[in-house]
Amino acid sequence: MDWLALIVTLKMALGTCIILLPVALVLGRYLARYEFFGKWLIEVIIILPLILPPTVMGYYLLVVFGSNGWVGLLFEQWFGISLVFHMEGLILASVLFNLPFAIYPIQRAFLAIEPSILEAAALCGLSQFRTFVKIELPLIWPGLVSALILVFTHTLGEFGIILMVGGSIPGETRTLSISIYDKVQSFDFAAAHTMSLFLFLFSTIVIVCLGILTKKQYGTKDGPHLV
Amino acid sequence: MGPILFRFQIKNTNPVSLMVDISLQMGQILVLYGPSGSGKTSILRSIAGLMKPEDAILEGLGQVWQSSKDNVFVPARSRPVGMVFQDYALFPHMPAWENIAMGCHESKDQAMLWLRQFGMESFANRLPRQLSGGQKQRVALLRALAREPKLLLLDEPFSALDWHTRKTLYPELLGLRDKMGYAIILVTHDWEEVKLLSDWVVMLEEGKIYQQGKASELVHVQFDYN
Repeated sequence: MDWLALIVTLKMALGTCIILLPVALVLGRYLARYEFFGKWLIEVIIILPLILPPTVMGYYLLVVFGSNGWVGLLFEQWFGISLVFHMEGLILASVLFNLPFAIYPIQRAFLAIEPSILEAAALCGLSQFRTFVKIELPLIWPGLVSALILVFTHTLGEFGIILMVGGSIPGETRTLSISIYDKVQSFDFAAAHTMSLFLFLFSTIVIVCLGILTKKQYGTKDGPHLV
Repeated sequence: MGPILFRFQIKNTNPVSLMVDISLQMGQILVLYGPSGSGKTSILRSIAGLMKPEDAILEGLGQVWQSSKDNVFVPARSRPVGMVFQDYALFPHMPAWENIAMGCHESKDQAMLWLRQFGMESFANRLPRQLSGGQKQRVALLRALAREPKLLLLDEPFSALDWHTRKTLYPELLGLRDKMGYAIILVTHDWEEVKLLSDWVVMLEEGKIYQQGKASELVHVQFDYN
């Protein structure tokens, strides 16, 4: 078992969730509530990672994250961070790659709230912030959990984009998926099998636990809605 | 009956055509009666501040709620209005007491007081999906009342209820009016309800007032609801 790769994978998955969920909450709500010029373009950009091959997206990210790319230059000048072949670059790439998995369940959850519920909140005298905290957030909880499950488990298994942006540096950018690939390349099938089984079981347990949590919270038989 | 305290002049073309001038006194039940699509709910929504008609002067208790000419628009949350929606619009994740508490600065004590007054204390901890139609209707009404509004707007609140439940709720509404002195605007397309509850009836057709007066003085028109 490549424990270093496991730590890198978990770091990347947690970092992605922590950064992406607040962003998805704001963006998902905005897309669900408002009509504005250029909305379709934003929706197309969000859906791109679902359509583009990970290696293609990884290649373009490598270009813009590199020392000559505008994002890479920006990070180097402002924060003194080099993105390519570093954890920060992996997390940023993972955030972009997971945009649709985080935003769509949340956007759909906001859309599922009946307009009359929000109107009733306004007529109760609740401010927009109180309405968000007391009404919207508890009602979109299953969507939020779905987004969390999708992003977390999807990040655990990311391969192409990670390999392009991060390479395979032990302890820094070599994740479990990449480690499995390396083990197979070197015919170490036992190690590859152990890590694959671990990823399989871990992903399954995470989904089951979060599903139970959602059921307990709402007392429904539905559990989280995964797409 | 007191002097006219509410006056609503509404003109609108899109998405619904409206041209009405309605006046109301405290303690009066005004019924908006008309077929589907006649603009009843849109009038209610305009008064509540949930819809902004193109050209309107809405005044209540000496305050301007909307004046298109002076570019004044008081948002729904700042109007002294309570509303019961056709589908009740109860917050599905909150028990009955918390639904009501949302209308009275989130005070549990106040909410329980309202529930006690209506003999509903035992339902306090039930979620909306655990309540019957009549109980949901009462919780929605209590939530609207908890805000201590001056004007109560009721959008077909009895339409989803059976006749037996309705019969128990009608006297409650009349009692409420007599006890609290609210001005009430009730939307319905049930003539029996009009006869039983109204002090004044405004009959609508295609967004315009067709006739108005006391129910006993009006020519009853049976509208086609299909």
